[in-house]
This record gives sequence, C-alpha cells and structure tokens, in this order.
Amino acid sequence: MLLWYKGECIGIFGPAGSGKSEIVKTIAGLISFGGGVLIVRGQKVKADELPHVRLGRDIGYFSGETGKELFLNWPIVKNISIVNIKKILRKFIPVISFNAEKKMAEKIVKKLRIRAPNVNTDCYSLSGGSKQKVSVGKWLERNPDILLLEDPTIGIDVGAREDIYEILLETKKSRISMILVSDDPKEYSILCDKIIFIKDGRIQKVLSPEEFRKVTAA
Amino acid sequence: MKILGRNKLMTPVIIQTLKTHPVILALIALVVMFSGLYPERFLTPLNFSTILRQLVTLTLFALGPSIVVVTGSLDLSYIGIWMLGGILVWLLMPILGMFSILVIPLLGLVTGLLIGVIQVKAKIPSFILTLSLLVTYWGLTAALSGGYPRPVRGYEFITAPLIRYLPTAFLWSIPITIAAVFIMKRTRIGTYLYAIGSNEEGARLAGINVDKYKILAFTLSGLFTGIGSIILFQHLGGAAPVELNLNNVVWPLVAIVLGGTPLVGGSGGPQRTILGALTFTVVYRGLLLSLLHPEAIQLLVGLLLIVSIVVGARGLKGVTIT
Amino acid sequence: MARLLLSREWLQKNMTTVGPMVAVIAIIAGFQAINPFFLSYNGIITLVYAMSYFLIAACGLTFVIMMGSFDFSVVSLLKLAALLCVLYIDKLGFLVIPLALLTSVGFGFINGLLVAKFNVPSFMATLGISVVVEGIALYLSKGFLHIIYDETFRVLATTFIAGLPSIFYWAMGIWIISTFISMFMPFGRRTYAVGGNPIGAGLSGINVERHRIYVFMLSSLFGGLAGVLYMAQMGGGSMLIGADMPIPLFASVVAGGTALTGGVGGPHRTLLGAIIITWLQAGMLMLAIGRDTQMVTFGLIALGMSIATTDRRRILIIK
Repeated sequence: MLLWYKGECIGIFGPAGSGKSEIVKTIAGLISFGGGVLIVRGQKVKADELPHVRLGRDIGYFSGETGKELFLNWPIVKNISIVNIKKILRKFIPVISFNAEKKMAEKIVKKLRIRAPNVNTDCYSLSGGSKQKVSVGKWLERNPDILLLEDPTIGIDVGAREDIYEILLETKKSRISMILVSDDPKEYSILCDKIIFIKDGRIQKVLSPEEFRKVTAA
Repeated sequence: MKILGRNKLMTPVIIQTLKTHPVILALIALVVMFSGLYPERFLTPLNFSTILRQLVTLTLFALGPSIVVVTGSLDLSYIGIWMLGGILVWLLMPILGMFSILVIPLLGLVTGLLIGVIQVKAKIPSFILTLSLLVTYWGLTAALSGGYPRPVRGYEFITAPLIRYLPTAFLWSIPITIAAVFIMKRTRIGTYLYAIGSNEEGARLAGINVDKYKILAFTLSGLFTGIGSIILFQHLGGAAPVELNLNNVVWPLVAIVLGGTPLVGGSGGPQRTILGALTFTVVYRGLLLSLLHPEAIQLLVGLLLIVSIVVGARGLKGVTIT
Repeated sequence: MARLLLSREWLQKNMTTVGPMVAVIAIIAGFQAINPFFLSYNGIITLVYAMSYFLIAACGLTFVIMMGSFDFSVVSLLKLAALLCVLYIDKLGFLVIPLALLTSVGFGFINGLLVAKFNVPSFMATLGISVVVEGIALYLSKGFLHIIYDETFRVLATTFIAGLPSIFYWAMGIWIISTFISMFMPFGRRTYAVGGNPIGAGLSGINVERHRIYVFMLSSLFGGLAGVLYMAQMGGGSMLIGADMPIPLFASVVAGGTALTGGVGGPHRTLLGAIIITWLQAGMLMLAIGRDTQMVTFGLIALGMSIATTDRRRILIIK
C-alpha cells in the first residue's frame, strides 16, 4: 500500500522493461489493461477508456516525445489553447476569442521563458527544449488534478531542463499531484517526494529521495 | 487400420486450411445453396463456363492489386491500364503488327513504376494517387479513341476455344496466377512485401529498403495487370473506353477483401484473391439467376463489400486509421 | 516593398495562398479573351449556377479532408438526395427536403461509425457506402429521367435576388458558416487537431471517435443539401447526376490549398478551389473540349495539387 498525498510527486523507477512506462501509459489511456483494477477517486476506470475520457477525470499526460503530444504544424498559441478551450471562449457564444487565446499564450511564454520570436511561431521550428516548455506550459494552464510525466526532459539542454524543473516544483505547490517516469535518476531526486522501485512489473520498494540518492550514487 | 491412419492425418490439415481461409466455407455454402435453389440453371455446363469467364476477368484484374494490398497500399489503376493499353495496341497495329500487343505489359510496367515512385517521393496516399491516374488514363483513352470502341483483329487465337465449356482464357490465366502466388509466397520479394505490410517501421529498422520494395510492388502490380490485360484484351472484346462507373473499379477490390486479404496488408495475397474472386463470381451468378432486380444486386454487392471490410478490419484496434 | 513581396521565400511560403488566386485570375482572363461573352451577364449566371451546388458539397468534403480522412460518398449522397426529391415530391411536397437531408445524415453517421468504431479506412468505408447508395438510387429511380413539374419547389434555387439566383446565396451562406466554424468554433479547432495529430488530439482531451462521426455527418449533410438544391436548380435528373463529379470535387478542395495530410487549409480556401474547378469546367465546355480531356485535366490537377500541398515533413509512413 502506498499513500500518496495531494501535491506530491511519486517517481516510478526501474530498469528497462520493468513496466514503469507501461503503468503510466495505462493510466493515461494509451494502453488498455487485461486484468486488474484501476480506481480513480473511488470510481472504477474501464480497461479501454481513451485518453480524452481520462482527461475528463482531470488526469493529464505529458510525454517528452513532443512529436506525439504537440501539434507541430500549429503555432504556440494553438497548442496551448487546445487543452484549454473552455477558458478562451467568449462570454455568451461558444466562439473562440483570439485575444484571450493570445494573452494566455503570452503569459505562459513569459513564465516559462520560452525562446520564440512570438506566440504565433509554428512549433516545429522551436528547439527541443522550447517544445517541451510549450508542452509543460499547456498543462500548467490546464491545472489537472493529476499529471503524468513520462521522460519530460529527454534530450534537452541543461538550461531548459532547469527551467522545467523549476516550473514543475512550482506546480507541486499549486497542488497538482504528479507521477514521474524517467531514465534520469537526478530528476527523481529533484522532483519526487517518494520513489517506487519497480521490477518485473511488481513494486519492490518505496524509497525516500535521500535513500534513493544513496542507492543510485553508489 | 492403414486407411484410418491416413484419414487421421488428412483431417487436421483440412481443418487448418478451413480455419485460415473461412471464405472456403462461404463458397461451399453458396454453391450448395444455389444448386439447391436453381438446379436447372445453376448446375449446367453453360453456367460453369460463364462463371469461369467472369472469374478470369475478375482474377486478372485483381491479381496485380493483390500484390500492392499486401503492403498496405491500394492500386486502382488496373482498368486504366487495360483501356489505355488496348487503345495503344489499336494505334500501333499498323506500325508494329502483331508485336503491338506487347505494349500492354510495357504500359503496365511503366505505370506501376510511375505510381510507385510518386508514392514514395511525394508521399501521396495510394488511393487518391491511383484513382487520379485511373481517371487520367480514362481521359487519354477516350481522347485517343475518339470515344468509340476500336476492335482489333488478329489476336483471336488467344481465346480460340480448345475444350468445350472451358474458356481458353481460363487456361491462360492459370500460369499467370501461379506466377503471382509463387512470387509472393516463395521469393524474397514476397517476404519483404508481407513484412512492409505488417509493420513498415519495423521492416525499415530490419534493414529492408522499404522505398525500393514499395516501388517494386507497384511495378509488379502494373506488370501483372498488363500481362493479364493481353488476355483480357481479347476476352473482353478489343479496346474501348468503358464507362468508369463504380462497378468496374470496385469488383476486383471486393474479390480481394472477400478472399481475406486485409486492406492494411501483412497477410493474404493473390492466392486468397482467387478464392475471393471465385466466391464473388458465384454470388453474382447466383443472384443473376435468381432474377432479382439488377439494382438490388448492385445494392447487395455494396453491402457485401462493407461487411467483408468490417469483418476484415476487426483486428485493427489500436492502429490509427484515418 | 516590392522586393519584399516578390522575394523567393515569401513566395514559397505563401504559394498555396497566392497560387489559387493567380489561377483564378488566369482562368477568367484566359476564357474572357477567347470568348467575350464569358463575362457577360448570362455567362456569369452560368458560372454561378455551375459553382453553387458544387461549393456546398465541397465545403462539407473540406471538413473531412481537414480531419485527414476521405469521403468518397458525397457525390452519391448528392445524387440520392436529388432523386429522392424528384421522386417523392408529388406525395410529400416540401417534406422531401427533410427526408433527403435525414437520409444523407444517416449515411454520414454510418460512415463515421465505420471509420471510428470499426476501424475501416475512410476511403474504403465511404466507397462501400457509395456503392450501396448508388444501388438504392438505381433501385428507386429505375434508371429513368425524372422531372419536377412543381414550380414551387424550384423557387428554392431559382428565385432571382439582386440579379443572382437564390442558390448562390445558399452557397455563400453555407460557405460563410463553414468558414466561421472552422476558424472560430471549438468544433473547427478539434477538426484541425484530429487531422494534425490524432494521438495528440486524444491526449488533449478531444473525443476523437465522436468527432470523426460528427464530421462525416456534416459532410453528408452538405452533400444532401447540395443535392436538394441541385434538383431545385435543374428541375430533373437521373442516375447521371454528378457523373463526373467525384474527381473535380476532390480537386477543388486540394486546389484551394487544403492538404490531404490534414490539419491545414479549410473552407475559406475551398471557395477558390471551387471557383477554379467549376469555372475551368464551364470554360472547357464553352470551348467544346470533350469530356475526356476534362477528365485528364482534373485528374492531373487533383494529383498535382495533392503533391503540392502535402506536408512531407510530417509524414513518416504513407500507404
């Protein structure tokens, strides 16, 4: 039994093939599960529920593979707004307000220090780090209850990495709970409050960040 | 005891074949049904020969596309190759004499090559690519022929009757079909094509030159259609720009799908297409004999297409279909 | 300023916007030069009549292509809707309109279902449906030519307001609505999203399955509407309705700049495409260019524009 408090970040760590990304992908709705039960907020979740349904339950999924996650031929504004459509509709008619959209995107760009000429730049021309930031930014704005992170900083330069860690630590303060799966041990110690060690699909041990650092430093 | 022993070995093989080719059951059921319903009209030698004639047409048109479908793409250009090829023969007859018939496989080869290259380089979905090409070929045929069918003399020997009730075209089609099946099942080319259809990314990572083999698939398809068209040229009566209604284009596809080749590729192939063609022909003949309205028959063909696609597509959960 | 406008990069980037406009101007200028009556009042009316029902169907098809799918059944549904009108107008009067529209949407729903729930590739599903629809149309019409004798029905399309027939206003209205939806409404955004990145769309909270169904229903609805108005305009028809329409219809969507890959373009562009194709058609008819050459032309345009608009960066696997 693992207790996980609101605003905490749990890391799932293990060797390759241990099932760590499978767990996260299943919760996200990308893989369906054959046996077992997934219960979210007291409600049973069906095996083949698609991602959008999970989103309805306020569970977001963020992957470092921005190709899958972002709309690369879209500008930054649209990528941020697509998960936040409800926020940019005009008051009485369900029509998109370009102004609100632009303001929201500018706010994110500034906060995350995204390096782009303007919010209308197409995402495919951004650097890897900026793309990740756009992805993180859109989830920041969305503010889900639970955010699943898979390889969030894969292949990015150190500067952008630091920026993203800073943001994620902030999101913890705004009570977003997170699950992290990554191949970078440092990430776990920076971001996570508890770390689960998993092997062959089974939980082996629960560690605190200090214990984890000791184990992985060795 | 010895006989028992042999039977015991046979039944698992038969059951295995039936399991992987369920369409055989459908075929048998249909034959039984139609024989029961209309024995006087269905079980005659004339009917058999008609069925065989239609089978030949369908098979020769569907063989080429079967190869392409295995890789997960579509090739709709077959009617175009036949039409344009026919007109080219008519045009070249005065110059090349009897050799002008060879222009058809050549056209098929070039067409296939063209399609393959465009598909690979320009990344256009094969459906729209081959459809556009088909329409263009139709236009060219109509333009070159002036819109009229142009009979060509001199090739009657291809379909001269040899055995009673057995269309000679059918005999010609046997080696062609065997060749197609052989290439797909027994050669490296065929294996690679199945691999591409099953998992293109995986095939690429395994070191298969996917681009080259895709082009090859389309080229083979065009070539087979071209060779088949030599026979069809005479079988169907010379060169003509036929009306491009849905029927001509769709039936070979029905044969392919019915036979059990999934449209996403990876399995099936020409050998299944023959079965599908046979089943479809039997269905069609049977329905015609039942004197239902021709319109109703068309409807049923459409429904048959949809049903077979749905059944065939059932294993596709998780694949993003657009 | 002029240098900036004509620089190579600017041209390359905006080719899909500038290209169609240049084409339209070229067509108008060209045909007008050959036949001064091209732009006469009667000439323009002819062009408007040719373009209007076409544009309505093309707008619907645009949504489907924006989403990255195909809808091969639009023309068949147009035919069926038109024939339903002419066949049952005596018995049902104006109720034929909801009948035709409901039938179209029904088939659109089936299309969507086949693609979203049964994982059938869209071109195959819509192809199969179009065969069925054609069969039904043939069965109902028995292959004969049917004529509407009721003038009140024809009023829908042929009433002249400010010098132009009412069908023109219908077409413009549909076009404006389509453009509005695609640009300003979440529905439009979602369509672009599903077309641009189906997985990402799902991850962003879009119910991809449901949306696909909606879009196919939309395209079929517009196809049916086009059919109803077509019948009102023509006053009669047979199984030959829309005979040479599928390829030109598709060509008009890509010619406008909506790419097959999905996620780009939109109905605002299809207007130009529809103008190019239908006016080209009308001009060729005027020059007595045969159907065969027309077919070759449109086949090549469809092919060429598909190639030009395809965003090759994004595609990894194409079948």
